[in-house]
Amino acid sequence: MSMPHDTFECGHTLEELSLYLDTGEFADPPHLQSCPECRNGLDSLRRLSAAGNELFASDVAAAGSGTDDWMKDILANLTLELRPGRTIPLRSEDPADSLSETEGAVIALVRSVADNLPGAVAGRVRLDGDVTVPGEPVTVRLDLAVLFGRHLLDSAASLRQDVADALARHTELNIAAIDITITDVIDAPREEQ
Amino acid sequence: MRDHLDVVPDAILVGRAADGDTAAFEALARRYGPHMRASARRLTGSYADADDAVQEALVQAWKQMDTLREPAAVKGWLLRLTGSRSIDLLRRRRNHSSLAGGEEDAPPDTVAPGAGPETTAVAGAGIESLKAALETLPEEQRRCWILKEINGQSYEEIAQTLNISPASVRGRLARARTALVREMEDWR
Amino acid sequence: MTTPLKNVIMAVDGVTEVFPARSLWQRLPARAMSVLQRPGAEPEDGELVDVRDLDGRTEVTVRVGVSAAARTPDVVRGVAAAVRKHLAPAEVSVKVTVARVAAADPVPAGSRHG
Repeated sequence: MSMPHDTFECGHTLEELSLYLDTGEFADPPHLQSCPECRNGLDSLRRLSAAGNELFASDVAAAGSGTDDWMKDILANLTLELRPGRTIPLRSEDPADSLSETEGAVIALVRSVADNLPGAVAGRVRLDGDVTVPGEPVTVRLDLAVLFGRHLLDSAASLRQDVADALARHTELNIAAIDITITDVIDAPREEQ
Repeated sequence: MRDHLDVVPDAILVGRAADGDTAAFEALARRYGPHMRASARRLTGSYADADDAVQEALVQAWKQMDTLREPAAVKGWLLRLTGSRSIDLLRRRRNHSSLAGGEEDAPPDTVAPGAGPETTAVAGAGIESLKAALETLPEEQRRCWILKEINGQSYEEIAQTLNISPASVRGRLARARTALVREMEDWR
Repeated sequence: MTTPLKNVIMAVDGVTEVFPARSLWQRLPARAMSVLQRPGAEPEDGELVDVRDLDGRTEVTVRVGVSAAARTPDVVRGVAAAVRKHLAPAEVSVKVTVARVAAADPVPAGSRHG
């Protein structure tokens, strides 16, 4: 690989200037102010960087939207392994039987209850405690994003009740607490950049 | 609100996807897919290969979603996965073509990563000369440059992707820039 | 044998779906999953309910989806009882796993009550 002739008369190189632009490291910073060659070099590198940004923007625009067919095809071909999580036992009437539900099903249930609250979107849901042992106390931790302007404090109490009702209906877990954390406030529709 | 996943912050989507919510994962894929595809196409040279690389990156992302320490940093993570899968794809292709006795010296992405009539209309002269200059770069330098400027990866991250030392990344990147600056100035 | 058993299970109040019993379902593409979940769609392989004989005892493994309007513990016990009754007088052990609670999907109003 041949080295380009990139050493200036002042002895510095475009390589050093390139590193300086990325890291701010340079052996003799005042030199950069006084040396016309180095300043020209930095200007060139900045123009390159600007052209790179333009190229990037044009490439992303040319790639199309995430709702286009190419992405639909990719998503249709994806093999996403489901995440059953732990096995949560349910009482059986016959000792020969083994009845259970998956942690993944219970988490999805909690998520959908939260999603049903107007202006709210569930985030991560965790079941803290040994859900595989009947009667063990379990704490539900639910992250929530809310739309700005909604009166969430009122609805947090009713959400807690809805989650408790759903868990009582669909599990035999001993729910010790339901902790709801509002992690995000969404103020407007957003898109990348 | 489940229908509005497209307005939800990254960290929330990551949390849901880690919990197994495929809808949240697909929202992330739609959000960053165009950037991933642009990067993969610049690295591999074609949309067909780019889409394969993006798909592999998404499969890996789904499997490893719960290892992501900083959920808000999901964009950079997806781009790193895309870069790695693109490089893998090129390596596989090269091994295949040299086994087949093909042109070993030809870069696997002779489709000219620069060419692309679809951008010409909006592209300024800077873009056109940069595209032409990129085509003249040695492959390893071009990869470094794309991972840095299009993916925004750090020297360390590029080093991991390319399986070389950070010092080599620094050298290649600097040589790439030097060559690009000269090519672009000649172009004028 | 397995198809009638599947019908027996689907007939239990609160059961919305029967998923392939063994590991197959865990690796299904997301799209195939949604096809499975579409009412009326039948997977080709017919291995929805796993039935095997172990030393004279019949072991039945089944994975189901349960309606949000139902009560999951009651539904799974109902499934176990229905399978046992269907296979009587064989000595049966039933393994039921709930893989999905179809919560809060807009279920047609009044279609089902817990």
